[in-house]
Amino acid sequence: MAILEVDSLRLYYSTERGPVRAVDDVSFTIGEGEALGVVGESGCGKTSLASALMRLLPRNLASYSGSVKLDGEELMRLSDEEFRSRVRWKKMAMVFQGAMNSLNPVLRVGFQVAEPLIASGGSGEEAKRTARELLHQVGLPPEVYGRFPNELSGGMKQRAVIAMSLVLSPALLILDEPTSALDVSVQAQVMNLLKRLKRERKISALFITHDIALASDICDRFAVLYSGQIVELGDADDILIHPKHPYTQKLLSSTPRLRSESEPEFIPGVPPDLVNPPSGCRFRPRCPYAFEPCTRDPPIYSLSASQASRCWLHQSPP
Amino acid sequence: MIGRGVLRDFLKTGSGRMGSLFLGTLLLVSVYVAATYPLDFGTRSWRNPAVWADYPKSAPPAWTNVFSGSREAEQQVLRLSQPTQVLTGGGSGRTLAYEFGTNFQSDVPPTFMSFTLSGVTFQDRSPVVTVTLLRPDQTQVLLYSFVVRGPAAGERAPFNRYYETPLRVELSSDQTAISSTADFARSTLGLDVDASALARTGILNVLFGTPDYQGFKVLKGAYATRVAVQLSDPADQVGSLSLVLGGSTFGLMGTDSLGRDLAIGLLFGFPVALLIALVTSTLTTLVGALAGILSGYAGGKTDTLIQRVSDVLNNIPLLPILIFLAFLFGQKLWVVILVLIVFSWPGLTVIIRSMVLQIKSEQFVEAARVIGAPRMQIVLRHILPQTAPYLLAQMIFLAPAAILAEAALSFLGLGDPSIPTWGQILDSGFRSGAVYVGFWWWILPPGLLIVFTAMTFILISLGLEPVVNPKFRRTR
Amino acid sequence: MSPVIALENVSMHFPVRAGFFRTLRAKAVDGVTLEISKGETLALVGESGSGKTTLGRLSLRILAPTSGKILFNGRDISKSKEGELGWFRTKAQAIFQDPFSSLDPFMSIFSIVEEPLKVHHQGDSSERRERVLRALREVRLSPEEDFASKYPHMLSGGQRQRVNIARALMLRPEYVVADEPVSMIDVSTRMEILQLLKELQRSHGLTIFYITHDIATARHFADRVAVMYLGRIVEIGPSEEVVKEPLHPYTIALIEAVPEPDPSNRLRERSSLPGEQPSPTSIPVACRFHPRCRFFMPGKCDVIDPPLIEVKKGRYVACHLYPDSKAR
Ligand SMILES: Nc1ncnc2c1ncn2[C@@H]1O[C@H](COP(=O)(O)OP(=O)(O)OP(=O)(O)O)[C@@H](O)[C@H]1O
Ligand SMILES: Nc1ncnc2c1ncn2[C@@H]1O[C@H](COP(=O)(O)OP(=O)(O)O)[C@@H](O)[C@H]1O
Ligand code: SF4
Ligand code: SF4
Ligand SMILES: [Mg+2]
Ligand SMILES: [Mg+2]
Repeated sequence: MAILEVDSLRLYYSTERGPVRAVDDVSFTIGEGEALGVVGESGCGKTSLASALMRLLPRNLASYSGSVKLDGEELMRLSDEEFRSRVRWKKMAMVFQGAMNSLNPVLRVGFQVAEPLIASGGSGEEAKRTARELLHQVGLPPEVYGRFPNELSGGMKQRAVIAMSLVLSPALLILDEPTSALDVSVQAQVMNLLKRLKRERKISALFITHDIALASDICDRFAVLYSGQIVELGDADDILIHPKHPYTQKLLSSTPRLRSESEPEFIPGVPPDLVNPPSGCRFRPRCPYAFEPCTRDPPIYSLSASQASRCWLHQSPP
Repeated sequence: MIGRGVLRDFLKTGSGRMGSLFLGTLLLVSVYVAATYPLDFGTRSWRNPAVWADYPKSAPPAWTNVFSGSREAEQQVLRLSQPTQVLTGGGSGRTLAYEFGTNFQSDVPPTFMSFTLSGVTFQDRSPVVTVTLLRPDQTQVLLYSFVVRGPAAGERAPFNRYYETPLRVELSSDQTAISSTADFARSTLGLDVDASALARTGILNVLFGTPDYQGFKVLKGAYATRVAVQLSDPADQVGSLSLVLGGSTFGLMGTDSLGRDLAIGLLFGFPVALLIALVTSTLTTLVGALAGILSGYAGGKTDTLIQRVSDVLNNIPLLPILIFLAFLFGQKLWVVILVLIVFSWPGLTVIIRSMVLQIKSEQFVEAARVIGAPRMQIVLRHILPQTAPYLLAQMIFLAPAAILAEAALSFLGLGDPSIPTWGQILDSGFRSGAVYVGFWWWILPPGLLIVFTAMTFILISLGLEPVVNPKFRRTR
Repeated sequence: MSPVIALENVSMHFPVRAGFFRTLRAKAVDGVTLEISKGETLALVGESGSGKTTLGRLSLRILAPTSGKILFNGRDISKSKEGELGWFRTKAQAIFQDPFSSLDPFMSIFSIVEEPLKVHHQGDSSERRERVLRALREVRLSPEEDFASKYPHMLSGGQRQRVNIARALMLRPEYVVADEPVSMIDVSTRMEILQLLKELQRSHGLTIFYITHDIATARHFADRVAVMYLGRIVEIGPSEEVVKEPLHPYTIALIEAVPEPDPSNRLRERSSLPGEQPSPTSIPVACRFHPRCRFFMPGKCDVIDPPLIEVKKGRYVACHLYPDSKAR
C-alpha cells in the first residue's frame, strides 16, 4: 500500500525570462516504510519537488498543479489552512537543506525541538518530555536540551533538526540533503541514525541528494531527476546495478570509488536551463547515445515491474 | 559599462524618474538663486527690518483674491524723482509738487500708507514739506507737514539731508496725520470722532472711505497724494519721493509678521537645503566609510579605537551638545553641519565595518592576497566596490535626514540667523503664533518644501534600491 | 629530488577568546613536517577542522607560523615580511573551495583573470589580453571572448572553478594549493575539473597541494596522500597504497566510512568513528586520536605521543601499533 502517490505534479516559477519549469510532470509513489531517493545534479528541481509536496510555495509562483495523495487523501484539494493545520509537520515533515544553519541562535535547542508540538496545542510539560525523549533517540546527550545552537557541532545540530522533524510523529519524512554539510564520519553517524529511525519507527522517507552513493545507504527505490523530470525510476538494485537511462549510467560512473579499479568519468557540459530546456530529450546535448529520434520527447518505457526509463533507446526495434 | 546600465535601470523605475525630476527642479531653482541673490542675503536683507518696512505685515498671497470674493487692496508703490509741477513764487523761492495718483478700486482700504523722501540739499533756509491727500469726492486732507532739519552747529552749506538714510514717514500711524484726519472727519464728514479713537481704529478707513450706517465704506475712485516741497534757494534740490499704499495681500507667497516677502525667503531656502543635504551626507559618508573600512580591514588597536569613539559619540545626546556649541561659537550653519556629521558617521561606520569584516573573509580577498596585491589595492579594488552600492544608498538616505535635522534644530531656535532656511521660517511662524491666527501661508509652504526635498531624495534612493542591490541584480 | 615546498615542524596556534579573561590556544596546526617534490601532487585529507586549510594557508604564507620553518625551493620564507614576498607571490598560487565567493562579483571574468598580471606589472594591455584569452581557452571556457565579458553570477559552479584555475595559472606558478576545489560542485563534474587540473599540471610542470576531505578523489588525483587529524599528520604514503592498505586506525576508519553506490548498503550499518573530533583548543594528551581509537592501548597510547615514523618504504605512520622499522 503506497503512502504517497504523486501524479503529474508541476511547479513553475515565474521570472523575467519566462517560467522556470522546476518540477515538470513528476509522478511516483512511496510505499509504507520505504525510502525513495531523489537524485540529480544541482538545480534539477529536487528542492522544488520537496517544496511542492510540502506546499511551501514562493511568491513568484507561476503554476502549481497535479495530484498528491497522502494515505489515500487528495492533498491538492485541501485549503491552505487545512493543509497547514492537518498535514504539514503532522503527517509530512521535512528536514530542509542547510536547516542546521537556520536554527534560531537565541532559542534553546530543546525548546526549538518542542515548538511544533506546543504550536499544535500540546501541553508544555508533555512537549518537553517528548523533546527530551526524541533528543535521546537521535543520540544526543540530555544536556543538549538546554543548550544554544552555537554550542553544538554540525553533526549535533543536524541530529537536533532531525529530532525536530519527528516531534509530531509524521508518517512521511522529506530529507533534503540532510548530510551534505557534514564530514564523512559524522555523515556516517547521521545516516546510521536515519536507518535506525526508519527501521524502528517505520517511517517512509523521501531522501534528496546529489550523491547517489550516499543515497544508496538508505534508499529502497530511486527516482533520477533531470531538468525537472524523472528520467528513471526503479528499485535500488535496478538503478545501482542495472541502470538503463544514459543519464543514470553517467551519474553512477562519475562517482569516484575507493574499492574498485574503475576510473571515474564525468558528464560533459552543464545541466540545462529550466526556462528554455532543449527540445525533445532534455539530456540530448550531453548524451553520448543521442540519435535521430531524440529530437522528440521520449515516452516513459516500463522495463520491468519496478523499473521505468524515459529514453528512446528502449524503443523495441520495429 | 556598468554605470550606464545602472542609470538606465534607475530611470526605468517610477520613483527613480520622479525623484530625478524633482531633483532637477531643486537644482534649477538653486542655481537661479545662487546666481541672483547676494551671499549675505541673510544679514543684509532678511534680518534687516528697514528692508521690509514698506511691506504689508502678515499679508496672504495675492492670488487668494480669487477665493476671498471681495476685492483686496493691492500693494502700490509709487515713485517719483521729478516733480509733476514746479510753482515759482516771488523771489528766488519755488515749490516742487509731486502728485501720486491712483485709481483705488478695492473693497478694503490700504493696510498702511507711508511716504519716503530721499536726498534733499539746501543752502540756507530749511525746505518745508507738506503731504495732502486729494479724494475722489473732491475733499482734501492735509495729512502731514514738516520742516527739514536745519544746520547743526559748525555745519556749512550746502546742507545734505536724507542721503544715507532716507526719511520715511508712516502716515497711517503718524500722530500729526491722525489728528489731521480727526479734524477732517469732524469738519468735512461731520462725524464725531476724536484723535485717540482714530489712533485705535486706524485712519485709513476714514481717509479712503465714506461714513456708512455701520462705520465706513470704501470710497472708490481716483485719489491723489500731493507732496509739496518749498525751496528757497535756486541751488536747492530734492532727490526722489515714493509713496506706498500697503496691500491687504502680497505677492506670490504673502508676507510674515515683519512684512518679509516669504517668496524671497523660501527661494533662498532651496540652495541652502541642498547645500546642507549634500555637504552633510557626502562628508558623513566619507568619514563613515573611511573609518569603517579602516576599522574592519586594519583591525587591532585602530579598530578598537574607532569602535570606542563611535560608541561614545553614539551615546552622547545631540541637543545639549548643540546648545553648548551654539553658545561657544554662536549659531552658525557650519556648526550645525559639523555636529550632524560628527554624530551620524558612527552609525555608518558600524555597518561598514561589519560589511568589511565579512568581505575580508570572502575567498576573493584571500585570492587577491595570494596574488600579492598590496593592501591598498585590495581595499580599493575589492572591498570598496562591494560597499559602494550601500554607501551610495546611505548617502542619498542621509540627505533628507540632514535637511530634517537642520529644520528640527532651527525649529528649536538653534539655526544660523544669518542664513535663512525653511526650518527657520517655520520656526518664526510658530513663534509668532501663525498657526493660531490661521496664517497658513507662513507655515505650509516651508513645511511642504522640507517634505518635498526629503521626498526627492527618498524617491531617488527607492529607485536606486533594485539597481544597486546585488541580490536583486543576481536574479535578473 | 629537492622539494619545492618543505614544512619543518610547523605550528599555527591561534589565540581564542574564551570568556572575558581567558585566552585559549587553538592548535590548528601542531608540529607538521611535510615535503612536496617538483611535479608531485600531495593530497591532504582529514575531517573539517583538522587544520587542512590552515596548513595550506601557511604554505602560501598567507599566515605566518607561530613556530617552525617553511622553505620554498630551499629558501626560508617563514619569517619574511609581506614586502619581501613579491617573488614568492608569483610562484605560489591558490585555487579556492567556494566557487561562489572566490570570484569578486563586481569584476568581469576578464578583469579577474587579468588581475595577477596587473598586480605584477606584466605585459602591456594587448599582451595581457592575449594571455587572458589563452588561459581561458586552456581551461576550456570557450568561446573565450564570450566568457571574458561575463560576470561570475552568470557562470555555473564548475565554470567558476575553471576561472579560478585560469587565474591561479596566470603567473606561471610552480606551486599551487588547491583547497577543496571540487567539494562544492556536482559529483558529476568533479572529475572533469580534476582531470583538467591534472593536464595543466603536466603541461605547466606544477607541484600541487590538494586539500580535500574526500579520500576517494584523492586516490584518483594524487600521487601521495597525507592524512591529518587535529593538527597533526598521522599517515603519509603513496595514494594507492594508503587507500588499499591503510595503516593508521584513523585512516582505516575514514576509508570505511566512505559509501559506494551499492544496493546492499541499506541493509547494514555503515561503520563510523565513535564521537566527534575534539576541539583544537583541548587536544587529548599523547596520541591525540586515542579517545576514538578502537585499538587503544591503555598505558601506552595515552602516555606517549607516537612520532611519525617510516614503517615501510615511503610510508609514514604515527601510531604505537607500528614499531619503528629502523629501530628494529
Ligand atoms: N523561487 C524561485 N524562483 C525562480 N526560480 C527558482 C526558484 N527557486 C528555485 N528556482 C530555480 O529552479 C531550479 C531548481 O531549483 P531547486 O532548488 O529545486 O534545485 P535542487 O535540485 O534542489 O538544487 P541543489 O542541489 O543545488 O539544492 C533552479 O534552476 C533554481 O534556480
Ligand atoms: N583565524 C583563526 N582563529 C582561530 N581559530 C582558527 C582560525 N583559523 C582556523 N581556526 C581553527 O583551526 C582549526 C582548523 O581549521 P582549518 O584549517 O580551517 O581546518 P580544515 O580546513 O581542515 O577544515 C579549526 O578548529 C578552526 O576553527
Ligand atoms: S532519449 Fe536519446 S538523448 Fe535522451 S537519453 Fe535517451 S538516447 Fe540519450
Ligand atoms: S597510538 Fe594507540 S590510540 Fe593512537 S592511533 Fe595508534 S593505537 Fe590508536
Ligand atoms: Mg536543493
Ligand atoms: Mg577547510
